[in-house]
Amino acid sequence: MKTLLRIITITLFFFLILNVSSFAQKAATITGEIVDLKTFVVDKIKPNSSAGLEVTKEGFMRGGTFALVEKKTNKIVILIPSANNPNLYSVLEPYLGMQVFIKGQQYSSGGVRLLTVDDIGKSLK
Amino acid sequence: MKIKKNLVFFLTIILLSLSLFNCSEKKDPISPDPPTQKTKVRPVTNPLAYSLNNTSVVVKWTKSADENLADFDGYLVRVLTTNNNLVRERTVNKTLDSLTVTDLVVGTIYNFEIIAKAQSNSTKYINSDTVTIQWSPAWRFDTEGTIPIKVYESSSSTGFASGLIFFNPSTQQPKTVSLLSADSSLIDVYLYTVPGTSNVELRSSHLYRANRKITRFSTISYDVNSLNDPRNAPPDTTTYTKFDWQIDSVAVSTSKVLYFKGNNGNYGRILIERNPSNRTLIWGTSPEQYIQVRLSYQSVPFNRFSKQR
Repeated sequence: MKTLLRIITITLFFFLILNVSSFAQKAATITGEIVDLKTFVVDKIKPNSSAGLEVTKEGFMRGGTFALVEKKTNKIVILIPSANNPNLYSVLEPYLGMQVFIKGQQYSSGGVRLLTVDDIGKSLK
Repeated sequence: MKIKKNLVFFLTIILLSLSLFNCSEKKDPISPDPPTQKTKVRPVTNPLAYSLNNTSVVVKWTKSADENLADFDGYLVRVLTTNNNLVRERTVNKTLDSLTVTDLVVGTIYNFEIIAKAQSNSTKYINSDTVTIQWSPAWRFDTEGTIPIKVYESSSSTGFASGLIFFNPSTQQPKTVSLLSADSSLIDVYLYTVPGTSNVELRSSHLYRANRKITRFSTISYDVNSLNDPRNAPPDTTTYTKFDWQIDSVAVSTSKVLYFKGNNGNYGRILIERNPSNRTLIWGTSPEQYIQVRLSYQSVPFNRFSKQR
């Protein structure tokens, strides 16, 4: 009985470890709109108008945080550069104001999701 | 008697004339040397051209072999319509071997005449023979609006654009769309996923649905990194016989330019950009691989001088 409990405990432990680690990082494709975190959360502005675009760009220029408002859930995903393309602004800037999908590695911790921008394109959904 | 007198008079005149002509042929030691025959400077060779955009054509040549002559005076480029109306003339310094001719009309075919010039006061040389190349400006599209032109393979989901419209009439520029979008009847080419491989094929839209637009590719292509690729002539119209072009997932050293003829007879070129990360012409990961392209497009039909359109 003791041995069985031990086996169950060890199995459960490895299951949890594997499960948690798979949640910590996984490949993902997320569809949504790119925003500057502060401009969107505080001022409720998206770059989907010429004025909104200007304010968002200004936010980025002042060291803002790149984020994606996920279309499916309306939740915010923080965008971070990939190793191949460290200049995030130059990658994201052409896509401001449109629905995009971003492919990358997603990291989750403490309710915060980060996504590396490995690839980006306009979304037709 | 009167007739005799007249005859003598005429004969005298004739003899006098003959003696005068005879004298003029003799070299007078005091008079200057007679003008010698001037030599033409050697012309440029290998004229090439490409259309830079809808109003500009770049003309290029191999410089004259007589550039080192003291009397050499650069180049003259004359731009004429096919009706021989002079549109523009430009002089080019002798150290240069190309000229961008601006303010042209898209779709119009021009003759570009290149002349190697001798100085106007040269005692030995005159201008070279004319070397001519024919070309036409054509539209150039590096992006779709602000974003790179990405065409996704057909195995990707409907949110990805697998179809490419070369020249969307409403926006006057290329548009990428889903294969089942409302604009699907306008799609010129799409990117087909070759089953069981990582290869893709750029295909004429009619191979997806028989009632869609037909695009033909020339059998001629070039391994170059830019649409700014001077050529002496576009491919012959008889070479446009392919409906698809396979793009293998193999390392290559350069991008590739394909030539196409659209459904309505509009010629153009498509640059398939090399992905520096994996050194192939294919970007992204399966099942959402894509090609990234730039376009040169001749909006006037049946004008094959659409290179670097």
